[in-house]
Amino acid sequence: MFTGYESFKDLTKEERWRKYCGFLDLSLDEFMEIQRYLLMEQIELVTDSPLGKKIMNNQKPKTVEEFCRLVPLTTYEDYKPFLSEKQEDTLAEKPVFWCRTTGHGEDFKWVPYTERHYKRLIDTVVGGFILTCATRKGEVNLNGGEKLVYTVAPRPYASGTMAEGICQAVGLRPLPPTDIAEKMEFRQRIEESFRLALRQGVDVVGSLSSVLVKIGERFTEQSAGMKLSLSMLHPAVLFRLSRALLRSKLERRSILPRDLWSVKGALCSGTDTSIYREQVAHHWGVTPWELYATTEAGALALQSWSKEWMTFVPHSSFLEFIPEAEWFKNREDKEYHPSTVLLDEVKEGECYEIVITNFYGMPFLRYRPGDLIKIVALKDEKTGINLPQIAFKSRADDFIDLASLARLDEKTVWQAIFNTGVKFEEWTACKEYEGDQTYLRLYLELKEKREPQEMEQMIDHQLQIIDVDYRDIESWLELHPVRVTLLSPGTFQRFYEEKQKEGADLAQLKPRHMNASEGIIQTLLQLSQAGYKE
Amino acid sequence: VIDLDYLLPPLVAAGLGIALLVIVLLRGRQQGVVFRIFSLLLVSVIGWALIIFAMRASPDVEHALRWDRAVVPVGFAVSLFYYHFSLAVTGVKQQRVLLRAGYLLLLVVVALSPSSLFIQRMEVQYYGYAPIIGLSLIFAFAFNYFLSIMALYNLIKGYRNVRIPEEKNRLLYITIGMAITLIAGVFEIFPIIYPTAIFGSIVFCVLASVAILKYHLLDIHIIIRKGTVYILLSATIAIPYVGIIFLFTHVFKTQVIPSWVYLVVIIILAMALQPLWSRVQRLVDRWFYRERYDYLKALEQYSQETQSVENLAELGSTIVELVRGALRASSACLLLPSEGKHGLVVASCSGLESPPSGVVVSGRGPLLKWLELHGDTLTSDQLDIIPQLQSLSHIEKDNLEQMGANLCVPIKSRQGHLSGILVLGQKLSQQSYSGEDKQLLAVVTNQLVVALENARLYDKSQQEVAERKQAEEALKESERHYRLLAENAKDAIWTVDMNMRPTYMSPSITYLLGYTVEEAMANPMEAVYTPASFEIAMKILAEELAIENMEQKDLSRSRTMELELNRKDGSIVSVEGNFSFLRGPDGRPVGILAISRDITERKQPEERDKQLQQERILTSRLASIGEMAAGIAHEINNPLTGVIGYADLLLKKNIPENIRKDANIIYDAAQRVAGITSRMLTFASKAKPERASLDVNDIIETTLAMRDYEMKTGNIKATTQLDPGLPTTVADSGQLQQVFLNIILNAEIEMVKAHNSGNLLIKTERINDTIWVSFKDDGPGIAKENVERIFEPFFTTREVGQGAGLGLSVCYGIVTQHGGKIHVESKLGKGATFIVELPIVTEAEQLELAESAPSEPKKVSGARILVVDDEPIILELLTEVLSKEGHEVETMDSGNDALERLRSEDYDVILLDIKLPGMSGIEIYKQLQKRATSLARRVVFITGDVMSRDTTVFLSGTSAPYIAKPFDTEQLKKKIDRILTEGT
Repeated sequence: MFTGYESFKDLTKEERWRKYCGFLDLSLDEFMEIQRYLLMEQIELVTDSPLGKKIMNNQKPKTVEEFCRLVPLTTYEDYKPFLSEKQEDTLAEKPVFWCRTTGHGEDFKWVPYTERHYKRLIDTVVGGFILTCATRKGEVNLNGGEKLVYTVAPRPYASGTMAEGICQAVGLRPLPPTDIAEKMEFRQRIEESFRLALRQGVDVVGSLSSVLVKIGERFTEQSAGMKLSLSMLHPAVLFRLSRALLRSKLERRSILPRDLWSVKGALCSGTDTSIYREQVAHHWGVTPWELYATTEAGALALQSWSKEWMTFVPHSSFLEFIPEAEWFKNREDKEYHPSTVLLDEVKEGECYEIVITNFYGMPFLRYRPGDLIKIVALKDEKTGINLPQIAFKSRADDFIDLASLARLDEKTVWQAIFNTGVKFEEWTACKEYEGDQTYLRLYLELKEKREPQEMEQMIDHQLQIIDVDYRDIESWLELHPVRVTLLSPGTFQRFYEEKQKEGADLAQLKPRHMNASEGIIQTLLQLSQAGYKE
Repeated sequence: VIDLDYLLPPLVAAGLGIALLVIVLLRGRQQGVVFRIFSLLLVSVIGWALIIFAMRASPDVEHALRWDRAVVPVGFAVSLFYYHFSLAVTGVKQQRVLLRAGYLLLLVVVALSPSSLFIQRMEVQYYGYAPIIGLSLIFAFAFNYFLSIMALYNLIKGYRNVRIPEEKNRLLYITIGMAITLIAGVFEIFPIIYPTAIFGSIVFCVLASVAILKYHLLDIHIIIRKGTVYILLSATIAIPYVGIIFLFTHVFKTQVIPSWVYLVVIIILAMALQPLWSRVQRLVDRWFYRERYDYLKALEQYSQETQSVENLAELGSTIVELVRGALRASSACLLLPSEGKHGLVVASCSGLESPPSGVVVSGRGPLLKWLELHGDTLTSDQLDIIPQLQSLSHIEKDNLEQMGANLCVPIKSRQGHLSGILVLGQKLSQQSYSGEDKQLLAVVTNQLVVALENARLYDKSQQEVAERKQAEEALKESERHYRLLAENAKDAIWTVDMNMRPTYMSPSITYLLGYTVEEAMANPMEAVYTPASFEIAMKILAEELAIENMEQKDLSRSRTMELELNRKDGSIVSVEGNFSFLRGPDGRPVGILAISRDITERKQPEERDKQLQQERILTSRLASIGEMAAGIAHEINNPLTGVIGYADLLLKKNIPENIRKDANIIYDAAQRVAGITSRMLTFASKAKPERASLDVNDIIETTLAMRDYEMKTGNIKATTQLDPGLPTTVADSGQLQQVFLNIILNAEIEMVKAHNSGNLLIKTERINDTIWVSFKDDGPGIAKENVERIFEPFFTTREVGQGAGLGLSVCYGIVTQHGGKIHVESKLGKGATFIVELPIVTEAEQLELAESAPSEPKKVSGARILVVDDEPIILELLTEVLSKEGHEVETMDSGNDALERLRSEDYDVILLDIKLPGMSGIEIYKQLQKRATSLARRVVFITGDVMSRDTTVFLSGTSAPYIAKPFDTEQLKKKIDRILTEGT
């Protein structure tokens, strides 16, 4: 297995910045040149492999344009017969290991990782960690030996693999060490992480934003009734707690994680990062830094030190984009073959479905991970980055169409719930029909007492603020399409437990936020009923 | 007590400090925290130096004491900033506690410095003011020193950690500066020792500033070595000089030595020392500048060797060897563009057992693009660091790894094009390449570009020479090959210059023309070709030369045509000639290459086919002309019958003499026309021959006898080669005689016209079932275009009045009617040969065809005659003629009407025109035959169309009597009489 620590340690700060974050200084032409060159190398690599032959219909494109013309767009179904059985002899390069991922509770998708792809992924994530800890261009505030607390799924999930890789590459000290952490349950692992962090400190955290917020909230809740324990008598812990107590008292509030630790950066993933941005900053004292990664493609885009928008990494995958109109046509008619554009053809303000082609002998060609992104700007004047700036919009199948007027995605609904200011545990949404009308049915578990109608009004109001199209529903149809079902407290926790009992994997515990299946909804409703009875 | 030596150092230190501060502020203000701290350090050093200056310049100890107490906190600040700076510049982990403690202590020292805790009092020493220190200062000084040592530790740690040579140098400067300051500062606390810290500060400031601002340009080792060199050299000069002076002074101390002696001695010494100086310098170079010495030697050697090396491969190996040796690199490879420009390949390599083969660095890859764009030397680490280069393909990476690439030096032309890359492996010392190494490489690669270009040009020229040699060899071989081919070819191959003078003739010319090569070479081309062929050849040449003047032309074009050549024996040989230009180096024609192939054998069947084809065409044409002639004759014959008939009638009348004369003229002229129409019909094979078995030889001799006198008077010599065994054949002797006479007459006329004499050879022979009669003359011959038309009626080449042009057409008609053929072979200027082919008809056929001669009929009158003709003039004429004979004549102008009349009326003779409007004469005859055969036997056909095949077949089939228009009235009467007599 690759270890890059020697390489990282030997570099000067300038070299570290240039190596891991230097892509931010590329021009669009340079970016495209790298993409084209690596794609042509990839075509050479995969042409003779059985899987490559199958996907490319025994053709060998000679140019990028020919590649986009000749090779069809693919989904995991095209690779499933080869990858689900881990048929390594059908691949262009022998993988060093396999990662798995899951969609919305469906079967696992197995993804082989070649050595070069993994090395590139780790280099990109090292860049991510440097940027996480940076406040200005060129600042490399990440050193070996620093402590990392991470709350992501363990290996063989890609996130766990990345965490393992980054620790080796930079020499970070994971709390707890990865080999021990992998044997623990999620909750147990988090508790152990913070127990160790109290003693040793934390320099960087890596997690889902919502998890970081939840941890912060738990700290706040628990700090009021904090009791001394034996473990707190350790001088380092005592000092840390005393300092935190002093700080919180000076500011006349409960203890927050930022009182305990001076975290350099919080590396976050998930669609909720922009929603919880302020919350994370409040609890942890740093603005969360976001990356866009998929198991199939690795880390595709990183935020810069400004922690605003994301920039694509040229060496990760070859990027194509299906314009929203084309994507929509294809959504309506599965037989329709949507056209794609390259990064130097995208337009500001437009949304696109992303299409990736792996480099370094990886299997996926013109693969649709099912993500929609938005090009927020063609360059970032503030940071001086001359590459298109993007924001993750949604999963391509995480939409709920309402009355053909509004198309709500996960982030919008989440944002609307969040903006009501009502504390909530979890939620899921689906589309509901009543006669000719369509409704957004939300199943919400709140942390405070509210009436469903009240929540409906509040969420409806917030949606009108956030989504222009949603506003039209009311003005055109004089309709309030939000319907809320409040679930009893602990419903989601019971759901997780049920799933765990059924032997579900960590990544499959949570019900999907958008378009959850009828079965899941029924289970939640039953669990909610049981909760009320208790 | 106070002198300038004492005051100057702090002023120098302050001055240097200010100058460096300005430079740092100007150049380093954007550089971040390191420069900010360094600026603070400089400010403190300047302050310290100025305060020391003020102290030293103080008028008394009281003033000096005040200033010296101010020195203490500033000096402390200097140490603190040193330390802080060491943290910033090395990037080692911040020792925050120590730093904060230092700043805290600084505040304490500032606060306490005016008191006597640090400086108790001042005293005057031999060098100036010296402080008497308090115990507190020792502690402060110790802490101060601790900070400085920590700073030194940080710097040494940093020095050991960094890999980049430039950065190492920078830290080395600072470390040395710091060490000197530390050592110098120790003496500050001892009043009896001259205070040296100020000098240490000066040294440090200079070294540190230079290191920071120009670290990548200087190498500390050079300064050390340079110093050593100058000390050595100075000693080398000074020792003998001092020695001699010492000697002079001591030996001649009682005498006064004049100044000029010193001067002379110095000059001599200087001159003598020059070689020594050089020697020492070389020695020192060898000792201390080993790398530099190697570089210089390398450059010198490089310069010398590349001058003598012209070959690219040799140059490449020389360069890699030199560079590798000079830089003590584990390997060196020179990469140059591949043949197809797909990338770079290893052109030369040193120190590698198996350098990578094929394209090492892709032409489209990021490495070449980056090197071309930036032109900087690239280390292997940078390949992994520079974002653009991170996309380097694994193949390229593997190749570079295989070469042990540690340094990639682009070789760029002045125009900025990348000519190649010099790839160096790790240094044998395991050190990194220094700035000097890179400078050497820059010099080498700059020169290398020129040398490579020269070598490339040399290679190209060598290649061109080799190619030219090869081409010449190939040409020679090709010449030999082609000469061999030419010499052994059956075809005659020859070349001529543009003036048509022969320059080469292959031996096969003898086979083709009968001349030896020498004879053929001596012959002008005009003599080789027949006049017609030469004319054609010249015409083609003119056309081809015209094409040469065009811009777009095919230089390899050739023309092929059939020509005739004169053989030595006078015969003519047909050849297929292929002609193309021989071209000079500029592509312009310098001669003509001709290849002539004898096509006689091929030509014979071809000629025969052609002749047959021509005959077919001619026959067809003549047949159609015959049809036309017959039609014309028919049309003329009707009115002509009237003209002749009425003229005859008129002449039989009692008319005045003058009118008779006119009528006679009319009659004669009409008879002449009748003769013409008769010949036309003969040509058209419409006149029925009167055949009998005959000997063709007899007819020839009779005909010749007829022309004997004329031939003699015309100097015509007629020779006969008559086949005595020639069989007889059935033919019309008169008509045959007409044919032969016509041919002989024509020959006579043409030969006499051409040369007033002539030879006529008449030959008969039997060929298969045919009698061939040929008439060969030596007249002017017949032009090809005329040969084809010669048998057409009215075709003549003679002047008007010298013949109607019917003679040969009549011959044609007669011969054709006999089932034979007539044709001519002739070439302009070569006479003509007319050949008559007659089929041999057997005896049995003769019997079938034999006819008995008719007897003279008795005169009959009073017969009832019906005349049916659509020509009113004929009806009138016949009515008048037959009425005068005592016959009762009725006329009808329509076939239908006539048939109708014949149903009701009975006639003795029915004169029936064959061609009638409506029902034809033949149809009426057939109807009559059906009605009563006797009636049909009374029919006499009148026709101007003996002519059409149907008519001929009908007449010969029915044996019906007929009278051809134009007829003589007497002839008509006899015919009527014969029918009436036989009928009766």
